[in-house]
Amino acid sequence: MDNGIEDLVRELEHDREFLSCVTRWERIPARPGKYTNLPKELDPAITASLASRGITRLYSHQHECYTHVRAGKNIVVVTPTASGKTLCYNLPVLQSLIEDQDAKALFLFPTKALSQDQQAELNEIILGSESGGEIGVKIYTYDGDTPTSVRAAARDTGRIVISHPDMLHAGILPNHPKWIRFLKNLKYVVIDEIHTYRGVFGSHMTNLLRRLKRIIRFYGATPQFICCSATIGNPKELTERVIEEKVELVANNGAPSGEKHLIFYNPPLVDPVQGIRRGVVNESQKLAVRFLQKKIKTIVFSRSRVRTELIASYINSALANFYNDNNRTRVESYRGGYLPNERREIEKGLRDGSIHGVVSTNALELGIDIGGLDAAILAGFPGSIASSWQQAGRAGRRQTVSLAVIIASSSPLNQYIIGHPEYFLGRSPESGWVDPNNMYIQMDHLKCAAFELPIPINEGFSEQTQRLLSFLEENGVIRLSGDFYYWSDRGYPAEQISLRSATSENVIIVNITKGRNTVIGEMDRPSAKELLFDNAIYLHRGAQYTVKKLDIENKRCAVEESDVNYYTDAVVKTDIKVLQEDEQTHAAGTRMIIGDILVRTQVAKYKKLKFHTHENIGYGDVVLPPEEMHTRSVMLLFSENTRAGKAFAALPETQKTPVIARLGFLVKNVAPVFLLCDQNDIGVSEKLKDPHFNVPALYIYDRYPGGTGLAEGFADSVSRIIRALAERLSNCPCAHGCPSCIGPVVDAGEKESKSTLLGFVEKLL
Amino acid sequence: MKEHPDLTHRLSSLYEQIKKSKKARTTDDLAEKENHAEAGKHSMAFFKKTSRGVASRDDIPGFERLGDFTWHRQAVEKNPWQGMPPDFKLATTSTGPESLIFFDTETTGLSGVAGTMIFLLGLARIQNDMLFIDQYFLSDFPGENEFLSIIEPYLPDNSVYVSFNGKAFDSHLLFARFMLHGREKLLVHQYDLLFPSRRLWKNSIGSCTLKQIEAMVLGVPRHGDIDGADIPDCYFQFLRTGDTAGLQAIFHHNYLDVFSLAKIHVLLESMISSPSSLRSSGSVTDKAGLARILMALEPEKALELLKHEYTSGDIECGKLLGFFHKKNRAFIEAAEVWENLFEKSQDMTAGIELAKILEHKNRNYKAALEITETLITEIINNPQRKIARGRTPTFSRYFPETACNSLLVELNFRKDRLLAKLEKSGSR
Repeated sequence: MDNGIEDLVRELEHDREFLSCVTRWERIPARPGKYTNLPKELDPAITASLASRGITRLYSHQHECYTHVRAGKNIVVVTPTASGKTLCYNLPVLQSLIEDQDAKALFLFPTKALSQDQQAELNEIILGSESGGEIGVKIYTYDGDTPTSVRAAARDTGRIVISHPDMLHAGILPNHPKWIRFLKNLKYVVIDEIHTYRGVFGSHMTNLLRRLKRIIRFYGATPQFICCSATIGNPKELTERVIEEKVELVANNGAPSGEKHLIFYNPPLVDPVQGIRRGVVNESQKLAVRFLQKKIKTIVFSRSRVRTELIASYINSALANFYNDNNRTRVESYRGGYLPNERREIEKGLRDGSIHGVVSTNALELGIDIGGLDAAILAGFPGSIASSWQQAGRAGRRQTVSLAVIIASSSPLNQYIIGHPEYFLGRSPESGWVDPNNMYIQMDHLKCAAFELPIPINEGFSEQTQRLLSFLEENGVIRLSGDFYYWSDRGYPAEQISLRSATSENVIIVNITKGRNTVIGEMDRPSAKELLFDNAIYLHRGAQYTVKKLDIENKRCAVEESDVNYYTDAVVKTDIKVLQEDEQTHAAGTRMIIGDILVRTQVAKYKKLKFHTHENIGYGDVVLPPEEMHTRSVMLLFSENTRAGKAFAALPETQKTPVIARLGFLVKNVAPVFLLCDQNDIGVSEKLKDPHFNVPALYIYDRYPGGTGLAEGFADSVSRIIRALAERLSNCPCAHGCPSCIGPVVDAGEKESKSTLLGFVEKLL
Repeated sequence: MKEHPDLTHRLSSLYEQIKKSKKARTTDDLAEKENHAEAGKHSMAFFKKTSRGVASRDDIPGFERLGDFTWHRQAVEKNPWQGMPPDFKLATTSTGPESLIFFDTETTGLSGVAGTMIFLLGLARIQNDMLFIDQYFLSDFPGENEFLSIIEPYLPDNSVYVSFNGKAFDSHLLFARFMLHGREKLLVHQYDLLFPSRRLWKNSIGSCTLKQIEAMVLGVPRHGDIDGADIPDCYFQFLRTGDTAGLQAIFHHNYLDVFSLAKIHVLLESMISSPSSLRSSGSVTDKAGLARILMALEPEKALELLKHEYTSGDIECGKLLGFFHKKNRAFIEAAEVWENLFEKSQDMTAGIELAKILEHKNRNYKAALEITETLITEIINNPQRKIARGRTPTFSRYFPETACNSLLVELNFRKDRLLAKLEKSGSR
């Protein structure tokens, strides 16, 4: 038994230099596992297959899931890392599919990458047993990559079909008559990572499931739902909202876990006078190298793609110095945009132990099976409590000790968390909200629903459905004939409705070195503009390339291998242009306008930053069209003739900027609760002097192109939101402000911020 | 919705209305589900309900009423062939022209089978030396169930269904519509004219639409025909207004479509029956394409055609002839063809094939090497000669260099192997 990790913990406990940077060392004791026998009724083929993988008993929560599902109940199971999630659904589903040769199951994963992963996992169970023979259940992945030749077979003979919501929305449901054999026998719908379906995306998901259920009812089936969630504040509530069925919550994790150490680490000051600390990139790299040299399997989470590449290459060059010729320590970087087979290879390497360390973006935060690691280093606070626990949870084995280190960056939020670890430890993970009756989203899905099957006039998704249907009828999109609404437009509604805010357009990255022309990766279009502009340095799995030509139109980027001593960082500017003012009222003491805006993100130039020291050694220009999003916004104007405007004008000059900035922060944190959306669904922009209106202004806008009613919703409940802001401020137990209210306050000079802001907000009431 | 760009905009007024009337949000969504469950009947019952209590049109000019929503008209045309009928050989299970059904549908959209309905079905049959054209029309959505049950007997299983792009579109949609209504209707035997048409005419007339073929091949251009893309809107217009005037254009369009199907099919059959009649004329017809079609049906005729066209200088036919010989292991004849083609036109395929024969059959490594080297120089010097091999067209469009490279790699591989063989035999 290798005691490397325990030795490391002991060593760190006595390392005074290390300890001087630690603001908190939390020890979470080991927990024994709770086991039960395999269910007796299990088919011998399954038992044999499990045995061949070393499984002869179940964790208590797996058994609980099995019992509930077999009793016909819908469930949501909360599954921390290494708790054997997949068996929670695979076991009851496979057993039922063996018993009932007609039954089918649909597995939905939030992304394509995750669904392909699952296919491999399932195949292992199905083919796994040598003695018990194969479990004759056909499994297909049905997504955009599925060849046409396989699609018909998947539809007609697939017992388990693995897909993702976008495919269900635009591929399966609009063609449901082709799926009749599958849908009429659909017995289970498995929804993994259900916590990702929150906010606007979650509202889309609920409506998508309404459509699915409607079609399945039409074919006479009533499936059960099996859902899995990461640890969030309200798994049961969120699941019931998303699937609109009662569910049993399975939350008592029976998997054992070893002792865990959670360490809060603030990099040492290099310039105490200016308060400058060592950078998070170098600091995490140093720690990682220290761990890896002791053969500790380590994962480093970083907050951006560039940082991921930087940290990985620093680690590798540091290790190269020590292990010149014996290359026994292998460290990889991992992020979205690598080729699928590269990603698979890294995942496999992590599972089988041939890769010792990995530096990743949040792409490895959940879902993908990479086995257990000994240590996790979080290079910067991930932004949410839930993500922090997910990432820290990647280090954690069933038997042995594990270690997670959160390294603070110099941002105020990071510095606040590191200075007040009790704030972090005392808060429960964020809750997820959905608003299934968001009118805009529901209307989109009603169009799709009418396309899929005529809608009877007395039916619908919610009480407002009838009005939406009449509205669509007035506009000629659907037509009432007899007692049914029929789709009557030549268009194909699902094609024009996206479930996600992000574009699915990807730029292909082609290495043209020496006429090679090989595709090395891909990147979404908006990111490409920020990372793949001409002359940018593109870092990819430790190799360095210079961008020769970014061809946005043809979605192609040519890069060439290079060897320079710097990397590039785009300077991104975002501005807002008001396109149309639709409605003007007075609310919250301000002039409030609802209208259309254009949010433009432009990369105008870039910095060249030297490797290791990160000093700025020059600039370059970028000529690229801006990324534009046309959306809906609420604009709160603090004009001088308004109550709020007068109060703002009366503030001391030095307080104006912090007050409006902190007001924006507060709004962004509080409004989602009222709008039932996710924080990332709304954008907030504060202007001390808005160029369009010439007064101080606060924009609250929808981050889904075209808008999903969040701006209207905000305007609707603006007075309630302002009241909630004041309450949040006055009830927050912190002394001078914290991330729960006005945002992190680190500087002692800002002691007045909270009271000043409270004074101002009270004037808006 | 491209047609409704301002929908989201106009929605804000609706939003206000709903906001005002909205009761406090009830969390009781789950109870509401109970009502939904009640509606869970099987598909048949669902669509039976749809047709309840709807008034239907009084009159569709020129059509007779077959049901509440289903209309029919029939026209008779003369035989599409003059003089002697051709042998009907194309559609494999065909026992004669009377088992053929030429069909085409008009639909409410072009993609996604669930929300796209067939509202007009045109069928043409050859009987007693006449062409009977039947059209079945659905006058409103609720009548679909009735419409399908009326047309079903006219779609017998043992007929051969001749269409234009019907394999990919019409027959799938037809199947899905029947499926939705709880019936199974598979057009078992199908012959899609799109594929042979592309082989025969794509090179000379470009886009192989039915319209283009009529104009360029049959020599009867359509005038004043409705654009296929406008048909759904035209039908929706009728549904909204009840005005049947616009429909006539759709009926005529569909009529011409099935009529043309019959004509094209007969033309094809006659080409198969006597390919030699095309030798002098038939300037739009791709001889190599015809030979490919013939190959499966009448190999002797195909060979005869190829030989003739090859001698009169058709390179594509020459290549086909080469491959034909290769397939029949007639390597001497094949080599002769390849050599001739390669000398005349420096054709890449001919060169590669010749090198293959020289290497593997004649074991003349030196000559094979010489040709391979010529080809390599040719590609490097003349980028226009790039050929995509073993890749999808999309791939080679985006990455022409790579497609070219893969050919180069292949040739270099051959070159290296030949060098090694030469070394081994010690003859260089």
